[in-house]
Amino acid sequence: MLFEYSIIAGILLGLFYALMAMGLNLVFGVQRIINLAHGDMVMLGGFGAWELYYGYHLNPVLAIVVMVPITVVVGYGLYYLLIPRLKSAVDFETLSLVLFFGVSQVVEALSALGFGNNERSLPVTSIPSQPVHLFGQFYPADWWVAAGVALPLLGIFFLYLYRTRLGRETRAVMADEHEAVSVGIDAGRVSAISFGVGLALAAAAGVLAVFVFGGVDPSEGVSITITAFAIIVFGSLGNPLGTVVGSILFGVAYQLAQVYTPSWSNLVPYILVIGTMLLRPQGLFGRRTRVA
Amino acid sequence: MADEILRLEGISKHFGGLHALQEVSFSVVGGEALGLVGPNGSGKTTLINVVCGLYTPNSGSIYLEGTKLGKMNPHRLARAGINRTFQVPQPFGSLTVRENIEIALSHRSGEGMSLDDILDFVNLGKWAGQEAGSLNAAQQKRLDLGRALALNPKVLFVDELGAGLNPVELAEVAVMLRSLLSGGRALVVVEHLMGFLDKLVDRVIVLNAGREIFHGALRSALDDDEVKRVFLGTVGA
Amino acid sequence: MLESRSVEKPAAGVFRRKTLLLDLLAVAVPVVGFAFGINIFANELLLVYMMVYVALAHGINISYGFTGYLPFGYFGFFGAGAYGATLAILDLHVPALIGMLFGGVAGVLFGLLLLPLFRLRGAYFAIATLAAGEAIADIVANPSLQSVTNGPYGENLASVYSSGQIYVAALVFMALALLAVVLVKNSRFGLALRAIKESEYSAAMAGVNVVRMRSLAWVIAAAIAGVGGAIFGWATTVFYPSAVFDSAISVFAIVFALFGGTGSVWGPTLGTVLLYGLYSAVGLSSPQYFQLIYGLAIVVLVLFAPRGLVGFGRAAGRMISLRRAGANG
Ligand SMILES: Nc1ncnc2c1ncn2[C@@H]1O[C@H](COP(=O)(O)OP(=O)(O)OP(=O)(O)O)[C@@H](O)[C@H]1O
Ligand SMILES: [Mg+2]
Repeated sequence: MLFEYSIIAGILLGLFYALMAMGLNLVFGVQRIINLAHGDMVMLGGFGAWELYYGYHLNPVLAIVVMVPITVVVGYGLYYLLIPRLKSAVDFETLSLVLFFGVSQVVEALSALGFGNNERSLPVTSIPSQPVHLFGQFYPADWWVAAGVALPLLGIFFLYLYRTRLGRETRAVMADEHEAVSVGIDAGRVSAISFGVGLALAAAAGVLAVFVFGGVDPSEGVSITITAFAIIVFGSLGNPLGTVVGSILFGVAYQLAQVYTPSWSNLVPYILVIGTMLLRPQGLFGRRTRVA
Repeated sequence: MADEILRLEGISKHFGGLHALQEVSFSVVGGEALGLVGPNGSGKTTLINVVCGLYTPNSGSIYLEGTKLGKMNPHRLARAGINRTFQVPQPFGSLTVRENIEIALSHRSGEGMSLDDILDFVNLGKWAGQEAGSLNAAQQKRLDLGRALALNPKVLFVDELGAGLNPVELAEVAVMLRSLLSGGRALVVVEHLMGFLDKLVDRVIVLNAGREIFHGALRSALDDDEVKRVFLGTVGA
Repeated sequence: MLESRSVEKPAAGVFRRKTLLLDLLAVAVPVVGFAFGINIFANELLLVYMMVYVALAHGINISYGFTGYLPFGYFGFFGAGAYGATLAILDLHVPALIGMLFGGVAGVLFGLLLLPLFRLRGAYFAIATLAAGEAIADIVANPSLQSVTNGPYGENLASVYSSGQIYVAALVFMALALLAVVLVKNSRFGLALRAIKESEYSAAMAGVNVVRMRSLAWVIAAAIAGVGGAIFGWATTVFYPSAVFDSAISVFAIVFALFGGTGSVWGPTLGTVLLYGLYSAVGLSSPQYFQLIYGLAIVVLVLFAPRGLVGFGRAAGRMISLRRAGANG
């Protein structure tokens, strides 16, 4: 009984995690940068939804629609502000990591100063709130909403990546930046747009996170980044479909831990990331990566 | 008959499904220069990486002076007398040329060339105090050779030292390498330039797709049908 | 051009003796400064924290500056040290000073546990240590372990508090950490570390035992964090797990080290004294402002001055000597 519950809950939350982690994987795939501020972007999405709800009575799901274009533009600009200067550095990988570590600190501090240190939550009535009964168990409505919103968003993302010209160029840069440039693709522009899209995915996940996590607070960024990173390493870096599968498996593992050993369940992402890196650095889907 | 320095028996190395080396066997004796040729991607550098312990072979054995080498870390093999230059040299860029050589010298147990001998030999004496990262490509290759010589290797693998050099420099390098054979050292030279090899080596091994397809004198290699096909194939492609 | 520059360099022996002297001064000055500083500036706790941070910044210096591996999860060692010392003092009843050594041992044990992470490349290593740091924080604070670590309720070392001992311990600890850096920097060991940082493969082919050298550096860095956490806990007296397993500790140590300049003995010390001094002068009332300033500092440093303060100094020195060379030639 509890087992089936964990599986279903894990799949529902897994779809949400996929949305939460996808942007991190996109940015990594394109630029070989691990955006350590990714979790903070998720957090900002949550605060954005909160402000839009209380300031403009905007339904959180609609807030996503408002925020996506804004974050794409912000990310586009941020890319040109930060990355090109670094590209020439010998130690690009580590330096970019340190850089985004700094960005993460700035975002966290600004959020704490602007929104206060306390957790904020949105009323459950802002979304459909009737718990769903299935196979003799009740599932919170917000899990269904999160999955129901994440799924079409992921679908749109995959259409973008596999069915549009820009998506094709993005995948070309992911495969080999030099090759892509040599066939006339503007890798800088593609990277900047991808960075924006990555942030938009994070912000959208952030709105849902307010419900799934029960609230949003400025210090949640680090653990979200680690969880997202655990998922994308597990599902193979640079592989978007792997992120979806990895997320669902992670969701199920986490729910099983929640049910059977609740006090230790928070360790799941840490164990997952360290275990994967040590035992199978290329991740589930075996695409050769640059981990080791 | 000179003493055998290094012997490889049935060395294979796979990367996933790619068979980079398949059952490669050969040996070199002291004072001998062996050529290792083959088109791009035929496994020459991989072979060096296996012998130097940077990659573990999937099968096969390696013998140094008749003693079978178990799985050993690269630094132990280097100290034991197996060394190489890198196809793309990776000197310690922020250290001086002198320090680059000194690091290797500090791990030599027996006799060998002094710091100044080495700097003279690779013609970098004037740059001894310079950061290695500021050297040009040809100088970095010579520094890499100096670093390898510091450990007084019994067998030295030279990976495309000639690439990018002009004819005059090439002739100098050939003389330089030949002088390394004294004292019973063995040399394995990877090179695409046949004219260069002709001046240097007695025998060649030809690899193609990880497999040995020819073994013998350089002249007869150039007449061998399979070798011709492999090389013309890559030239044509 | 190249040749004329190499002629300007003094003979190696003289050059090395000169830098060694400068490095030893970089140990003596802060030690003397903190030994007498207490007479001028009476906030003892602040000075203890500052000395601990000087040492931590040098731990980052050894691990990142010399070896190229950046442990974001450095706070995990710090917390492990605080708890290792506390448990030794409260449960094994060792004297507090000996307890500090147990802190170092706890840091080293945690470090040894993480040695397999060195199979990972730099960026992945950094994140893996972060995950490890968060994991050990969760484990120590877990309510299921209340009988051992007191879970989320923290520890209390009031019974062994001794301000004089704490100050001396911090001073000796900082001196040892600085000496360790001088030794690393001026030894074959340090040369090997710098070589490994540049190219692991070339280093191995130069006969350097890469695994052992890197592990040794890592263990030194872990020991520093462990003892640092132990002294921090002792000085703080009552602490919660969230106070010693705080990612801000990593942030501080990394910023101080980067700001001053890694790879040197002066840099991280200067960075710590300046930035931590500023932090304390403005007051601890709103730590967010510091998080903001330090975050911005990281961004600006990475983008504009990846070599830190010391880098500016060196660049200035080089300009002066070049101009002098020009005048002579
Ligand atoms: N670490 C590795 N992982 C996966 N494949 C590898 C690795 N190293 C080499 N290979 C592959 O093994 C094959 C042999 O490569 P190798 O570098 O040994 O060729 P080579 O003969 O030295 O070529 P070149 O003349 O271009 O230097 C190539 O297909 C190469 O892509
Ligand atoms: Mg090669």
